[in-house]
Amino acid sequence: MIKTVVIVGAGQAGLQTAISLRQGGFEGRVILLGAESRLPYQRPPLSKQVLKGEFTEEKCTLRQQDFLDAQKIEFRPDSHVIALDAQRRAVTLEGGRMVDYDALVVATGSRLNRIQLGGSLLTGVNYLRTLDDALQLREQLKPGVRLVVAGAGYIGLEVAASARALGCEVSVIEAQSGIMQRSALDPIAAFLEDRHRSEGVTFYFNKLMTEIHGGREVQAVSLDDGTLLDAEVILKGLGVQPEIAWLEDSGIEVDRGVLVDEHCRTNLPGVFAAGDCAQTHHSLYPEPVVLESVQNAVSQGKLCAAAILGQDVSYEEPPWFWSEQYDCRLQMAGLPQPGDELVLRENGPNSLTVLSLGADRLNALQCINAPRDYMAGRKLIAAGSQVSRERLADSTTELKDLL
Amino acid sequence: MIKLNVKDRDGEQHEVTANDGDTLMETLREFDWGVAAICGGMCSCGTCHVFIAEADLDKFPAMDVDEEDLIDMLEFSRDGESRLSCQLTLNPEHNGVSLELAPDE
Repeated sequence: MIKTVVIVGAGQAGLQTAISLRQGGFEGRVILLGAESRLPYQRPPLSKQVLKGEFTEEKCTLRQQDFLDAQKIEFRPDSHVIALDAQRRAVTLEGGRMVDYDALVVATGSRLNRIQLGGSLLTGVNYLRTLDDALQLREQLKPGVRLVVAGAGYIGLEVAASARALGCEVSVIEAQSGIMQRSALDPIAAFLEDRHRSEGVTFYFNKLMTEIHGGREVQAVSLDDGTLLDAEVILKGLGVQPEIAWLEDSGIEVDRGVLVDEHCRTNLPGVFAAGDCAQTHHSLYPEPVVLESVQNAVSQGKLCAAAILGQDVSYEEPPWFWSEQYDCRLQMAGLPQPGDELVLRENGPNSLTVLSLGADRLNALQCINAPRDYMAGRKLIAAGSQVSRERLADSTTELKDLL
Repeated sequence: MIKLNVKDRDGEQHEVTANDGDTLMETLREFDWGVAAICGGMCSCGTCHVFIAEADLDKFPAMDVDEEDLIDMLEFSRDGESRLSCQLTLNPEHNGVSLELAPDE
């Protein structure tokens, strides 16, 4: 009998697990351990609305203390969990205290990839992961300030767009030959790259940042081809990896993330995992996937709760993601597969839909300012039915008519 | 004080107190019967879909094209009543508004 569920990590996945447990009628204790001092908050606005001053800190809070109290969710901030003892069914907090569980949910998210260069400790060098990071960066992004972003992924590009809106001069350095190489389909990446250029962002592709110069504060950075760029603020947006180091020696099965089945169960009895830190079996994909997204955190949070409650629900929802840069809302669903054919739909100015088509089904779609296509595409991907290439490409046919 | 009359997905009525300047979505997600609002108010997911009582509809600004497009694609949308609650910012004029949560998609 499960009397106590301990959730490690109070981000979107951890909080969702707690909420869904209560919604599902769980009457035992729910203990939510957060590493930060704040109430659970949403991260997507950090690189956008928070930097631009459109969202207060308060506005990022996902649920207020009153809600947690009413739901009898025992939220414990500043709780750094350092180890799992699966034999004893307990986790260890920094300082040595242990918390016993009947069921454990690992929802520790990701941690930043950090690359130490000369000058990394100077004032003006930033990472962006937490709300505190965002507030600190916001203080520095004054009009006329020169910002150098390392890494043309989502965080780097969203910060670049926010910084341009704030009147900063922005350069982006990227080791690959284009932006968002890991996840965006080429026509989408090209569209957004053009947009950043027309907004005044300068790109340095196939380049690495090698050193940061300055006395106490950042003054310049050098690149591996000898280029020297003057700068007052640096953002390192070099991606993340699952936060799973604390599980070492626990016996939990790990590949890139904590391996879970389609019910979020790990190999250890009573231990589940959800969100960025999990690598999950998914009914749509042959190999387990790591999905760094709000949707995945929420979906897996619900799955964990269902599994703990003994319900048979498995992961079938196609993954979806979004980003915002300038007035471009990028919405993506599904995962492109090797060998896919790309089909473009012309939607008129400042809008584009790209479909990633497998042999007999739609694997993914990525849209800029095309919510109708996006919502219909999500359903097409979930349905997994045969779709005609010609009709997909015909912009006069609505995607919803292909359902 | 802004008080709203909300019918949840089980047909149960609730009187809800909202803060001036919050969105309707922010108000509704505080309840266990409330909206999921997965995307956090980006008009990206449709999980904060509500039906506003006809008499109260004109107390809110008209939909922009993104909201209209998204609602158009939702299975349970109702002409003239559907709104995404993340797009509706509340003020004292909304005191007494009646609404209903749309079914989960």
